[in-house]
Amino acid sequence: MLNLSMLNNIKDDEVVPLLFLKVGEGGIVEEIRGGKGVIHRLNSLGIIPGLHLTVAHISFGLLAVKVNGGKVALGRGVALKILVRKIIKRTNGEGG
Amino acid sequence: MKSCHDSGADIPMLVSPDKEGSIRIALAGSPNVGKSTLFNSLCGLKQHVGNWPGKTVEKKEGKLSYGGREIEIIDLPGIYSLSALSAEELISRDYIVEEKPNLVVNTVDASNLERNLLLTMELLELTPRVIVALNMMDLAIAEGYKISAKELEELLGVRVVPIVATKREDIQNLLVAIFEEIEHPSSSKVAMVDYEEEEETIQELTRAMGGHPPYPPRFAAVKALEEDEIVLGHLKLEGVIAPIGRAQKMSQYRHNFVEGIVDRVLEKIRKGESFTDRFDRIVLSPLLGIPILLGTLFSLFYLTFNLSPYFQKSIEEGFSALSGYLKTILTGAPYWLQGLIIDGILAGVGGVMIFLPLITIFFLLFSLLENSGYLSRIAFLLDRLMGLVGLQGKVFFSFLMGYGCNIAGVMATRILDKEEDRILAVLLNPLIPCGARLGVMALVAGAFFGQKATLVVVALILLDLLLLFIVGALFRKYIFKTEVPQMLMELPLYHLPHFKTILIFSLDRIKAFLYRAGTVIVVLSVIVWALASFPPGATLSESILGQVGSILLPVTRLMGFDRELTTSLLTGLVAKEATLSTLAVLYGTGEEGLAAILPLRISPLVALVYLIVTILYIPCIATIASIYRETRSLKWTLFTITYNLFLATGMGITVYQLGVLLGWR
Repeated sequence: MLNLSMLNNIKDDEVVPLLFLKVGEGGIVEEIRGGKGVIHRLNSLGIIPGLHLTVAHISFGLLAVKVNGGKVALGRGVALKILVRKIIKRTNGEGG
Repeated sequence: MKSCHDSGADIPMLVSPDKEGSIRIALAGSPNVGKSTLFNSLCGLKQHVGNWPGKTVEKKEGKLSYGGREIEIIDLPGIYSLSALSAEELISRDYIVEEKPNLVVNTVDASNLERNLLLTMELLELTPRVIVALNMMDLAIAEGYKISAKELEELLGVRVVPIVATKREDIQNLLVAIFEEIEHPSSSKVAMVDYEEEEETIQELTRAMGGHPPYPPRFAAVKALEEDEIVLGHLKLEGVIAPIGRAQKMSQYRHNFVEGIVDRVLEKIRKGESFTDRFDRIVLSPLLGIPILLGTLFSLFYLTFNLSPYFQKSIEEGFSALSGYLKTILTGAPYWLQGLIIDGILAGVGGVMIFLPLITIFFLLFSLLENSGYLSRIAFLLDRLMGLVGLQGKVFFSFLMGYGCNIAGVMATRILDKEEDRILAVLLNPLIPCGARLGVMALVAGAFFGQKATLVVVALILLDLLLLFIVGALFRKYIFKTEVPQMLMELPLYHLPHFKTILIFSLDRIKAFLYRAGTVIVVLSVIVWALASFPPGATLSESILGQVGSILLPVTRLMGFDRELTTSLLTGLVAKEATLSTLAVLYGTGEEGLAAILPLRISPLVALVYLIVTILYIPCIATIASIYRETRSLKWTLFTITYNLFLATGMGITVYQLGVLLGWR
């Protein structure tokens, strides 16, 4: 679910590839670059522009992101194609 | 009109003479939403697994009698959408429009409502004859969600039945709803996604195409705007050109619409970390992730190898009793008939059945891991590592399965999306020592290395894995010349495994193994027996089989093998476990005496080389057959055999010669 209190906290407007986020950081999907196939697969897993997602785990560079109720594992290449507008964490408000 | 009688738990009288006839229901839904569990709960063992015509996609059909009527259930492949981009999605949408099932039961994961409803909305564009089975209600509650099924039903305009697919009572409720829907179709207006600014274009397209494509006009128009190749092809024939560049927008409208629904029916009543999140934080952590993974895999193998001997013993005793009994019955029969039945058929089948407990336990544990949700975490953890050698994390499923039986391993490559990745995984699978080969390894290593036997077996398995990675990297680089596909998959919520589903999954996999015991092995055992007993009166080493062994001797001698070892490898083509029984016959002992006699006949070095060759050389005939079935290419099948053979010979000679040089005899 979209968490409004988090939306209000946007301070950092920087648009970065999802890959650059750390565990616990979140962002709003700004744009998905890539071929039709990748875009379609991401869309049907619920990842579309405007979506809020959070990086839940990172393992050897791969990301597992929280999307609505579910969790999606993404390779580094895919994570590079998803551009997100970073949201600063509520707890420590750190950028990076 | 909704039915007037109460839709409580009691079963309504449904059979009226004029309404008989079979009912066909299709189950549709995404992977990991409990669709298979629902299917198994509905049909139990009354199911049949085949292939969709011309495709390597599994087709599951089942039957069930309810209220005096026969219901046929088709389990459509797990999908996330209804595009033309994957075989599974095409199969699903074409089945629904062409075969017109009476009803589509859409399994929806209540704990991941938003993503699941995206597919529901696409289904509703395809057919109004849908009911939603809102599954995993227990998980959704545990995750802190509160969902109003009633409101969802009103918003979607189709029946919504909240269920837990493992609960009998819920399945009853679902069946009642299915029947009510078939007898008295609901007349409420089915919800359609509002594509906002594109609605006008959709209307124009629907008018222009005049209902010609095989799909309903609105579905076709929406798909045209999503640049669906197949629909565009149909439209082109009619001279209709759809505007492009709107696919992403279409997805967004659908999301907005679904979000609107979810906002109204779902409430997060409890905040905080869910069980899955807490558990994942541990098992996916950089520090503990890999140790836990290794521990899990170790337990899997440890349990398999320590539990199976108990059952193996009774099977062994059973077969020796049966063989004794047959001997007394056949005392008057001609010598060749006795040989054929006892040494040919019975020994062949017995040799395979002895590995049944090992494979059963392995697959039960494997299915447990799979069903609980942990297996996809393994793929996630290993993806990067496997990427270094040209493979993707998902390949691990098929490899792990291969340790049970290579046939199952080869079949498990179907979960990979791209053809070349599938072929690569198929080619590599024979390098995984299957349960039968592990059994051979355990026995031979036990005979030679005593206390250190387990260590030797583990070392061999690890060395083999290293070799597998090297070969994989070389094939990816020089043969396929493609990029390793990127990981993109869902990590399902953890849940308590469903016993019935695990049992049915395991049975499916064991069946492949049993099938060959029943057919291929029997035929080939007879052939091998015949080759080993002709010309009549000849000893095994003088027989045809022995002669072929002698022809190969100049090569196998370089690995330190004698004629007996060489001949046993030949029978291993039938089934790897047959090598042991052949060796027993050749060395003039029973299979139980083999462990004692082996160290007298060959050196530990030769035994080690024999094990290496056993792991690497040509897979058994049943695996070769499934390699052909999955690649549908004689070229790849022959290629697999050839490279396996060269690898085995090369490694065998190298290790033996090195060993001799170093003076280990």
